[in-house]
Amino acid sequence: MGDGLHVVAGTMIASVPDTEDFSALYAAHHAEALRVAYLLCGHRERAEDAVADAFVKVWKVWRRGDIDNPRAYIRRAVVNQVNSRFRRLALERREAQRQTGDARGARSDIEGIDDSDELVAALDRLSARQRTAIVLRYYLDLSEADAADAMGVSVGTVKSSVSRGLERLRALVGQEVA
Amino acid sequence: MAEFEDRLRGALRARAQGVRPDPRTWQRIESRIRRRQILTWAAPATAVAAVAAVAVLVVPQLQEGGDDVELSPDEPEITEETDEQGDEESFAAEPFAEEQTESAPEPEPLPEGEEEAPSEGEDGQEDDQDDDAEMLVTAYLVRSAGDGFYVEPAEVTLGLETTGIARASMEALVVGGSGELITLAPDGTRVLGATISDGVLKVDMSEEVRDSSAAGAEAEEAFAQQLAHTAAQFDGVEAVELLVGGSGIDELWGHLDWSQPIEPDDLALSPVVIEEIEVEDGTVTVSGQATVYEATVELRLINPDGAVVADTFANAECGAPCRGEWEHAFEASAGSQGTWTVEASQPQVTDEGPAPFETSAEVTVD
Repeated sequence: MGDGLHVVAGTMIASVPDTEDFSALYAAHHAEALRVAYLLCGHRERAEDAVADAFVKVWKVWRRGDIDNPRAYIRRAVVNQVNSRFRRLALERREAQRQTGDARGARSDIEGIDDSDELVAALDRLSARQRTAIVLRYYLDLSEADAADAMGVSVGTVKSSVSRGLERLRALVGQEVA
Repeated sequence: MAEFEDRLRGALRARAQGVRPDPRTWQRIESRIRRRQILTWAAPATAVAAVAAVAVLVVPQLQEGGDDVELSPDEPEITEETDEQGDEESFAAEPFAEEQTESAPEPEPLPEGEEEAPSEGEDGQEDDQDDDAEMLVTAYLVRSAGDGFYVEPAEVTLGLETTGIARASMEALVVGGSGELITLAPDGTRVLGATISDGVLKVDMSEEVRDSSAAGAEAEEAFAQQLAHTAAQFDGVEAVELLVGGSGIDELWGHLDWSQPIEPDDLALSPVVIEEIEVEDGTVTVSGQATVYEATVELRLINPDGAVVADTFANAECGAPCRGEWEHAFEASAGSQGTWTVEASQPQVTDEGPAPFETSAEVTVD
């Protein structure tokens, strides 16, 4: 990298010889990353945005050759990105403003999901940690250890998050806790 | 039990299957990757002769792809920036508001993973010390706009003391600015130390930092982002951890979890930031960053007499919504001497866009 510097109208541009390889990595993992992001945030555009941010961060590490398991690393980056608390708050605030005065009126994220399945919609009522644990365990079928790695928490936290999350989901969809 | 879990699996898969990747996302990513590798520089042959004031920037890393480099003992450095290359993520809030021409001394090198050199623990910094005892650092301060708080970089001159640059930047954050840019650090807060290790800048502050318990959640988020962005300006630093009196904390003002390092978020940044203005042969060129929904930044050029001589717009290079860079060269010529003003704003698109946001910067034509 950096092997081709040329000057264009006063701007020195470093060529990017390795984006082609990275695009292959992106192509291999983008769809899964997007779907996980979507399940975590329930919003298509936010998911795309978070995935884009995550891949830029992944690239910074990837180009140094520091990623042994790209799939796991990308998963971790996406989970972090989607669950960034500030991102959620800022986006929700701006989303609310986008809706202000709009004939569609205010909509919650849950309604934005176009709820055809109350179970999935109920996910949004869980805490971010519970929702993440459940998506990683029941959508990606990750082991508790791998889910813990993706979330940056202990296995015990994953277990308790899944347990409490399932309990809450059952309550939300009106199913008695077994 | 198992039946419920099977139903959950099926529901998640059905929901996820409906999501089709947007083919434009890769273009966005590639554009951002390439932008990180662009080293903008003012080549001597095309130097901005008419720019009256050139900011002295703290440039944490000047090499290509600088923010990818692991922290090394000599990484943050003060550079006397005249026609120097600048890292794209190291920029000034209002770099041309005042003239900065004095030399900036070399700071103490930052020891990796070590506590930076202790200072006197003064809670203020003097701006008017001898020239050779000043350093200019970048700290992220808060702009209060119509719908909330935003953070953006600002340059603060500090007495050099024996402080390392990471600690100095945090001291600048605590001291804050004046006018539109403020700090949310409570009065009396002192920086007790700063340590960088494993990509996390741990900043230790005095107990006074807890004294904003009446502040709302958004203020606490913004303060956290002040810290995170200020920390992340240094190569290899990706998050900040706040210590109080030497100990880690779980909460500060009651709204935010501080038990984990906090990363900077672009969405915390001011929607529009002017990074640079150049005047060359009478043409005013302005550039900056913006968080855009419609990819448009409205621009106005105001002459020294206060008249709007150009009212136009620039398109940020990314689509909505994202953080993009923009640039515009005004056709109107800055032909007269005096202070010219560029106003940049995020337009309010009816019922769609976020609240309007406006910022400005000045440049003096001699």
